[in-house]
Amino acid sequence: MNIHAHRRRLSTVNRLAAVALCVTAAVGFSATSASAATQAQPALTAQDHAITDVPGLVNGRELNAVTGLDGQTVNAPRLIRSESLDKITTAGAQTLADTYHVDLVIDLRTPSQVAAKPDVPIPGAQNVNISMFGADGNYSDDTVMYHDLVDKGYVDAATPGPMISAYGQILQLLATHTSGTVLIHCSHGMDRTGTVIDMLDHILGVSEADILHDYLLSNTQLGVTWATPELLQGTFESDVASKYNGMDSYLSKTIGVTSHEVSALRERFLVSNDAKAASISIGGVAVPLDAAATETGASIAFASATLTSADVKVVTEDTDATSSVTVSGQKVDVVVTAQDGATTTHYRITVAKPVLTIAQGATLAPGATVSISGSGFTPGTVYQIVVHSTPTVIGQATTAQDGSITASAALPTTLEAGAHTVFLADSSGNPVTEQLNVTVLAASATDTAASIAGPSVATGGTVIAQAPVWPMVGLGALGIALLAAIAVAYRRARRNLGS
Amino acid sequence: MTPRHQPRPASRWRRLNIVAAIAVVVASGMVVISAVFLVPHTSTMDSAPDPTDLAGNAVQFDGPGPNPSASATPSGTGRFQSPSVDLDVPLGSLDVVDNELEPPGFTSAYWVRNLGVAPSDGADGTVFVVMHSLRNGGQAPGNALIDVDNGRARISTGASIVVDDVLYKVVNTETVDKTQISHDQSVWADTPGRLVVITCLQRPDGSPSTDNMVIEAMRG
Repeated sequence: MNIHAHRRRLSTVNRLAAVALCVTAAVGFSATSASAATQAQPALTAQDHAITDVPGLVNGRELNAVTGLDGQTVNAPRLIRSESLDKITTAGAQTLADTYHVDLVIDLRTPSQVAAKPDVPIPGAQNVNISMFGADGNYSDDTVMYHDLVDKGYVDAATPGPMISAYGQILQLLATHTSGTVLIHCSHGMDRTGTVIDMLDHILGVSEADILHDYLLSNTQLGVTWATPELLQGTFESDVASKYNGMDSYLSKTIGVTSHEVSALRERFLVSNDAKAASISIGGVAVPLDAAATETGASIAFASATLTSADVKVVTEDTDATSSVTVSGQKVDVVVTAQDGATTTHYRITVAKPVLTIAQGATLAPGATVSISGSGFTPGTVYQIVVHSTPTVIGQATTAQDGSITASAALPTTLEAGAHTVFLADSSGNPVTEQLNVTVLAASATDTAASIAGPSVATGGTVIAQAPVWPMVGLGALGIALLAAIAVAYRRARRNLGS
Repeated sequence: MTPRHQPRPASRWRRLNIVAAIAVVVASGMVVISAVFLVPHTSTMDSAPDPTDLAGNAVQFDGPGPNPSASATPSGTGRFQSPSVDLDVPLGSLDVVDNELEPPGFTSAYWVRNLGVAPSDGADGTVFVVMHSLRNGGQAPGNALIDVDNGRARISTGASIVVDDVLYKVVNTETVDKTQISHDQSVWADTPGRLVVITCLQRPDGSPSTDNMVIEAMRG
């Protein structure tokens, strides 16, 4: 009664004086003064976003932009916490709508507290009243109040009481409201609002020290010392630990926050530092991301006469991340920038033109049929098979569904012996592959060429030419005639000599 | 016969005798030489007799003879028949050896065992058949298939060829340079139901052949 009564006795005038004192103290106190008072009223830091440009707004600040889960930063402007909005001016309400984009107000007060000090409506904003204490929210003892802030009215899971029901509704609302800024408040924006923000910050992975600092900033902004570590940590969190096995278990099992809601809250209230690409493809060829993220970069084969950034498709893991593509010749640089604007990942890709293979080898006969294969082509595209030095299109090749090409073509029989190159070209004749060096053999050397497809066929023969008979017969007859002539002549000569 | 009374006739007689003896020797030599040439001399050689063609002519190979490793058999797989050109010969078989096909005989067709498929498996691939043709008037099976004077096939497209009782119809004939046929994938492709018959295209002037005749047929 007395503590709360003490609070109530602090008139608005006194409180304003206290704020003035506090600001003076914050500015004036040196770092050496480590009194209990300065700890109770910590100074605002660069990470704290107190709102000072809304007339009539008391104890107003955004979430503190501190480090949360996995090094990500809390997305401060998405939630404003404050005292009740009964004192804001019309202009202040307009500023909250226009400058701070507030479109949802969650009022945690009891119906009687709302009735006593109704909020000035913010133009265009929805107002949701979720009374954490139920009907009665007046406490004379802050410690009792902080015990109740854990589980007021809790019987069992079927009868959770107003407190746990309220936490469930609030966190669900925060997880599902994805348009403008949420403004959440109770009477002072200190206790009920404090435990709600404690839970939210816990889900976001904010450290205990930062949670306590933010909680104590209500003292700083209000110029009081009511908020204490003993209440938040020594009473509220201690009860959660002892009665409900810690905050995680309390959130998931007692309050019933789902893992889906946890993900949604983190998505909503953390600035992503995810600068990873989910996939990069160049002309449909997937880039190995791990290799591309190294200094050396990755190498892929893709058939393109002239590479442009339109060939490069980047999908980021986080949809709020952005990417930029720079193409320089056959080199592609992709930079993915995370939602936080600071975290980047650099992917380097060297795009090699596909290398062709000729099954028959690099030494070929003129007129030889060559079997060409390669990969890294755009599926369904038709390329020309070209042989240089005098550019001659010797055939066409169509890419298969997997980006590979297999084609046959005959070298011109008129191709001169010597060095030539074979490559694939687009329809304009621009090379899309590396040039493959081949040597064409002279025609006389073709028997030893590698392009043997079968045997040679020796099916020729000839009739054996018979030696002529008649000359020999004639010779024999002549010899016999000569012998006969000699015999006749010899006999006649002998008769003449004898007579 | 007293030498004292007949001095002149005696010396003249001696001269006549010498002339006659020389004439006898020359004449006898002419007879012997003609006899040696005209008498059959097969018994003087150890090697096998020259092969013969379908007409019984002794014939020989143009170039070196076939490699015995080809393990050729002149018959055994039915017959090779082409009624339109009056060809009906035994069907033997052989292997490609040292990247060359050379049948040993001049009276058979030979299917190639180590290329394509066997005639019994003709539905699954190409059956390759080779056979000799002869120049200078010889008659080997291949001569029936070639038109020497016009340098083309004598068998026409659409004509029937029966290989071991399987009917094929000629779809294409072409001449291929002998130095290029081993590089011609279109000849040696292994295609179901295909028959390729190869012989030599002889030349009108009777000089050795420089082209192969390739006859392509499909199962009818």
